[in-house]
Amino acid sequence: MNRSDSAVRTWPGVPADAVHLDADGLDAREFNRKLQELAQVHDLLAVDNPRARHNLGIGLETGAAHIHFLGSVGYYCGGFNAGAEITVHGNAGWGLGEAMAAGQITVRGSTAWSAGAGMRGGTIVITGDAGPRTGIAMKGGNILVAGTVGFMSGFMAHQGKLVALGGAGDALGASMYEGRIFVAGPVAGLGADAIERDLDGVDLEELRRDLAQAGLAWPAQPLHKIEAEGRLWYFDKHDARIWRNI
Amino acid sequence: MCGQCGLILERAGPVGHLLRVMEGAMLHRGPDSTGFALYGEEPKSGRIVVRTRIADGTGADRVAGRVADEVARVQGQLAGEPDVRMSLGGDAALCRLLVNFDGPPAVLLAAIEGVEGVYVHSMGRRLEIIKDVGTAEQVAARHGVDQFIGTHGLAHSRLATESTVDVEMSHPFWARPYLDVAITHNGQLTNFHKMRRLMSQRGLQFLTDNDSELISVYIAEQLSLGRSLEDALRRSITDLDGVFTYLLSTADAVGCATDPLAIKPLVLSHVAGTVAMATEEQAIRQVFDSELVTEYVREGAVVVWDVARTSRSAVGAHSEPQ
Repeated sequence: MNRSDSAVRTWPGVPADAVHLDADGLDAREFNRKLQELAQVHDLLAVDNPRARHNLGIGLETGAAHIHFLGSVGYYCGGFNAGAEITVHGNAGWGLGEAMAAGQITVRGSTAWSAGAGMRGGTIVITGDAGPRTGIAMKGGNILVAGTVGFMSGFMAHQGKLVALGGAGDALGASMYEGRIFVAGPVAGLGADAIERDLDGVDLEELRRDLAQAGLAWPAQPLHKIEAEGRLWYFDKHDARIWRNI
Repeated sequence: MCGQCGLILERAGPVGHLLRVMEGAMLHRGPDSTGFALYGEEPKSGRIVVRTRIADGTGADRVAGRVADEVARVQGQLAGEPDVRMSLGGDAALCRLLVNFDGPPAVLLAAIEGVEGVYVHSMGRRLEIIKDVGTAEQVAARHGVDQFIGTHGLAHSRLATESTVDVEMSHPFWARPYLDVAITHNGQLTNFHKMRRLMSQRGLQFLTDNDSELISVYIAEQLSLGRSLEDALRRSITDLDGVFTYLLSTADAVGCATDPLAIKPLVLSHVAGTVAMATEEQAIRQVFDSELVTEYVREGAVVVWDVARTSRSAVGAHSEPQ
């Protein structure tokens, strides 16, 4: 039971020439300022001792470096990302990549609630399971999950694509406006106004490309496409029952 | 908000210190008060550890004397001098009593609380609840938490929402009058008033009007009806309404339960006989290696760990805080 020193461990997939920044002893504001400065001059960064702390790697700018977090991160990691590539070697807490605009965040572990909340662009890849409300109110970009997504994932999504290769919890795609959800494996239930539609050739081509780029295997079970049926777009008194189900 | 954590060690060790460090990492979740439910080692037979708060700190020794008289009146006796610790900057004192008593715990409890200005925080063969206003670091320094050697325990830092900032409203709550059972809670109960009324009508006693205390008394009632810990936790998910994720500890087990949406998070981690859980993963990362695998508790989940299966016999450790 010792506090581990992430600098003395070897981390698979982290190049030896990465420039290291130790998160210990820096508050979130200091840490993010230093990380933003380093990302302007170095292409490859590694963060030691993230210790699952919150608000790490916020507001990284366009064209910034590839940043490896050596261990779990807490809430809101990679928020407002505008182009950096981030890899988390551990889990991520709530609100991973919230409101991100571009770039990629890869989590080699699992995520808690609301990964990719309100994201506008870029890609989030999760190799484990994602918690409830993954992709809530997303307005663009891709979220690719190798495992399951929790209940109410894709809730009120506006645009973008959420892919769950290991199944989904209840109320999948509840009250989504537009956007697409692709899910393989068991689904506990669809949310209000969510409906299954047939995959077309464009979908399949896009998914093959996305999964290959993310290094995720094509699922053994068939993929289903979930979209908004559109009955919540306009109020119709004949459809009042669906409004009561929200 | 509120931040809570629980720990089961492989063998008796510095459980107070480790929980204090873990809880310290969640100060932002609740700076109002901090508490610990710690389990020392196997006691001598018939001995009960009583943790109380004496409201009049300056006259604490005199009040402790009156408590001793009341204990004697119900055929109990103090095993040594009461250990009275003053709160830093406060006007109250926390007091630890060792009592030799074989009768019903409710009788002893009524006798001690019969003395004016004495509030019992816990009674148990092994359980000791230490709670006060302030941060984990402040409360631990004031009341010797770091020196506590034991096998398992809970900790909680509180952001007061449903009731006032106050020592008695702090967590953990003892499942009065059930020896050795304690809970910590993150959330709010929405059917609190109705359940409280029904439980009071059944003769159950509460120290406060805090909604979290209701969970501990509810569990005590379930256990007194002969239900298993797991069964009691499962029933609580349907009987309680609101947002809740709570931890429960007994002399033999630690458990957790969440409402059907589990919006109050809890991260679990276990390796080689050690089990750690916390509202936020960063609490676990304060004391455990980053290679340790963690998982979030799912909605509506109940998990129970048997302390005996994870902890081994103690080596040269003792339970008396110095």
